[in-house]
Amino acid sequence: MSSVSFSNPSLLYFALLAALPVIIHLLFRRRFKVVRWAAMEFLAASRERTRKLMRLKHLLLLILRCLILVLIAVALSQPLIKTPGLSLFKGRPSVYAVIIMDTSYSMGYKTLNGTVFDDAKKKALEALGLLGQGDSVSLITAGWKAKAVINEPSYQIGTAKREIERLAVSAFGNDLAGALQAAAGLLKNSKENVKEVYIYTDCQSLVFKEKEAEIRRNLAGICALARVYLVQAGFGPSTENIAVENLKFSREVIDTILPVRIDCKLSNYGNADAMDLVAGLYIDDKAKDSKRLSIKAKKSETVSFFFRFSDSGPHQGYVQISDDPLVVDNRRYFSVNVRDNIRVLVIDGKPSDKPFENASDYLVSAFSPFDSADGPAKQAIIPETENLYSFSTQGLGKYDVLILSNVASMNGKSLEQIENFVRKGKGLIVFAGDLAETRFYNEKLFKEKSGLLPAVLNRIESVKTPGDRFFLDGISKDHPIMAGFNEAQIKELKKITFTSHWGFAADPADPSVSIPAYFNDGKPAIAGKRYGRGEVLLFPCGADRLWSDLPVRNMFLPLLYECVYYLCEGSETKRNLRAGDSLTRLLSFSEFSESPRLVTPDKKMVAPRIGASPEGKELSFDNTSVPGIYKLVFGGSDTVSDFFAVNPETVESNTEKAGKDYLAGLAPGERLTIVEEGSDIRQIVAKFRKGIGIWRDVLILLLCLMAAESILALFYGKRET
Amino acid sequence: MAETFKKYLDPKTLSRVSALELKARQVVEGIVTGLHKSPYHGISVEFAEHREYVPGDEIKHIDWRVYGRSDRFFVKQYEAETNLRAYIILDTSESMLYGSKGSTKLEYASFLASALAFLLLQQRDSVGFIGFDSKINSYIPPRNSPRHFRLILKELEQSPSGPRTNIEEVFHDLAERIKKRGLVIVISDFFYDVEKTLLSLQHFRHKKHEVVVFHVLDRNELTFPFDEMTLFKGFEGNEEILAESWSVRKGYLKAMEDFIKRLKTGCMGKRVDYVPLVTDEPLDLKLSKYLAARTGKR
Repeated sequence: MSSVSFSNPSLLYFALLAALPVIIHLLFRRRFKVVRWAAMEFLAASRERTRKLMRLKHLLLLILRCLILVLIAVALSQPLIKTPGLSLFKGRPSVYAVIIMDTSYSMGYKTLNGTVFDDAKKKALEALGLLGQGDSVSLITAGWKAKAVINEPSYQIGTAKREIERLAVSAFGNDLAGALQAAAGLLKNSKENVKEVYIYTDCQSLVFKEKEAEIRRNLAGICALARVYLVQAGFGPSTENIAVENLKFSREVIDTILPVRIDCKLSNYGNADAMDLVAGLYIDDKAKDSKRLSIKAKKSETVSFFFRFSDSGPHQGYVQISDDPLVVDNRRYFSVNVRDNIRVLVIDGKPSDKPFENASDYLVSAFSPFDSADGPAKQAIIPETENLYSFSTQGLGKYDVLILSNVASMNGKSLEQIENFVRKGKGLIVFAGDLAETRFYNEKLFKEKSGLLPAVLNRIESVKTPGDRFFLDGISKDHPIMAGFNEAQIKELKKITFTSHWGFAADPADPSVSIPAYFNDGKPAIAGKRYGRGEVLLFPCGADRLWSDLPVRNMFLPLLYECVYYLCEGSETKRNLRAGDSLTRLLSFSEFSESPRLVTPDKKMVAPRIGASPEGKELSFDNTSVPGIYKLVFGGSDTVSDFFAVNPETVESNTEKAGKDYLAGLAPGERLTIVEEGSDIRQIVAKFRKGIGIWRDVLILLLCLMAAESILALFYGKRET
Repeated sequence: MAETFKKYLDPKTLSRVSALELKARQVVEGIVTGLHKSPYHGISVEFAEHREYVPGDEIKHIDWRVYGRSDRFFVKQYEAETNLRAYIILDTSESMLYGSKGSTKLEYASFLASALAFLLLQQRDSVGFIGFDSKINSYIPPRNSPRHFRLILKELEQSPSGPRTNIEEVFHDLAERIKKRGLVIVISDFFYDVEKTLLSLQHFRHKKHEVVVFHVLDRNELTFPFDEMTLFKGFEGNEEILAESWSVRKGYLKAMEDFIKRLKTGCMGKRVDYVPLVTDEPLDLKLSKYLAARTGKR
């Protein structure tokens, strides 16, 4: 039995107009002309003869007219039937289908019949098979940032099929909310009456729950415009997956002196414990270490590798576990730039021939702790000292960190060179001691927040009584400098005492300013500021014993090292990226003339963009969609100048699926259909698709009725003579 | 009275018909042989008036003294010289009150009656008048004096309209009442049973009367020009018919056509003159045409 439905059922209300002819008939029966008439006998005879026939004719005309109005309303409502044979015409209402393909990397999960994405593509092609001539389709990928592959409705279904076949799993996460929003935009612009949205996804629970509110809102939006089929792809019982996540180095600045700890978090998202799992460390494509561990189901473990790089320069590597169904998160890449050492230049603002009475001896001693009778040890930090008079900014580029120790002031040219030095990513530490001239510091270095200093120097704060001391109180563990210290070290830091210090006035609302520690009087004890690509740290005292016992405290050396390493991080190029992040790197002067090339993980040679930045010339590359190591080479050389590691989002590694009830609850109502694994999309769509449009048939019938009405009216009506 | 005279005697009509004469086609009981042959022999001596000589008048009736004075021939007219008794029978039923173009059928019929009366009296015939609807409402016996004409006009004006026509009863009654043979002129729309009408006209014929039927109808009654939903209210009785005019027109016109045809054929079969008249037609033209035709037939 065929059922009839309507594309615009609200227009059926116009069928009420069918009462109009009846009303008009009744009204006209009440409106008549009165005539005095003599020949009533003949009239009565005539009327008697024609009464029954006329009544029949009137009834027929009335029915015809009512039927015409009903059919107009029906035609406007665009009736549809599910039995094509009942229509004289082969046409049916055009369908506009928006296909949303989840291309997040979890779709690469391997099943017995290929990947989940293969299954999604197969099902999407099945849905396209339900479209025919006159139907149109758009294609959106929901990976990282939703992208319309076919934006304008395409009537070339074959083209859409080819586009779907060409699609590949990305290294990105899922942007279903964005894809739904894009689909809503396309649906709003479409004039078609029958609109369908097909979402092919592995229905990862975490992805849905992370952006549930947005997905709900957008899904409700498109459900108002179209019928939505959420198709579960590759929805098998297996969710086994172990992912390598959060690969972290114990410090950012890596040298050849000290070993570095590489912490790697491994998560077991499966329902079974993972026993005797092997995690291997590979550096420069060579296995360096491996660890065996077990991870309970739904739990994570951190595995640590210690490794000392023997060579300076760029290195790349990865941590890898044995294969599982989701391959892409079994390996996590990294890239590091290993230094031989860090070079620090100390400008002594208070030079003195007497040991430790100048402003640099304590600093130099701190940076050279390994001197012994055997000679100087291999130092991670190489300090050099200059006084203000011998200081020349010409060789400044070879240093990583510059320390102004109790410098009263300096000339404008030197200051400008220092500003450029920091702007390019180098570090500056300022010990504002007793000689510091507030005018120079505030006007030249602070410069109304636009200068190097994070704070303005107000006045020297001193203890009120001789026995009183200032000490560090508010220490921010969130700040990278302090983050590495344990509780005992923090306690030690708090034992450092001060008799005087410069009172700072820093603006905590300034996002470039950070305060790692405060004095007990509430004044900042250390203030930091990002300047260009570099960073500046301001200490409110000199690096001597005039105002504090800091230089002789055992925490002086770790604090100083942390500060130097922290400042050096700024000069490090961001080499470890998420898939989709832009890759940027400043070019050195020697690299200007060479043409840079990037070798992508899939062995393609691409040319990055070269542009200018405030810090200098830099190269950039946006299409980091393939996880792995990107190698930077210059000119025709095979020598790799730098490595960049690109890793996928880890949120996709959690393969737990959202249940049907949860998914159906995202958009309550009958417009969202969850197409479960094993269901026949053809049957489901046929059930909901409204059927064959019979408005043409209705129109023909309408025209026939109108013609019949005219003919009948001609013969029966007023024209009758 | 002057107004009544003016109302019913249109000078144009009179001028046109006065040149003609209404001649009986059969022997009537008049004694003057001039216009009509009289089946009776007897003389009335009461002088009535002079009349100009027309060919056919007896030479002996020429008043030679008048001739001597005026050099023109006049004949003497006497009361007993009436050679024709004409009865004008006018239907005054309410159906005769219908009129679409200003004048009603009754007015038109009254014009006709007065014109005929004038014409007959002018030729020294006796004219009687009977007004009827379901019964005889007024009866003026035939006379040929000029004053009699005024009496007829007065009656025409005052004749009441009754609700229904009863031709059958009235005509049979009249046929029995009119003893002497004469000319019976019936003016009506004859909205009555045709068979019964013809039977009653047959009664007049049976009594040796010559019968002339003036069938007066309104143009609308012949064309039924209505084009919308109409409530037709009858004149006779309270009959009402609500009908879509366009739907009943065909049947009506056919019924009307049948009616006229049957009436006309019936009249012809009974040697009754049938004169159809439509109220929008000039009476003078129709009447003179009829009289001319009648003269020709004689």
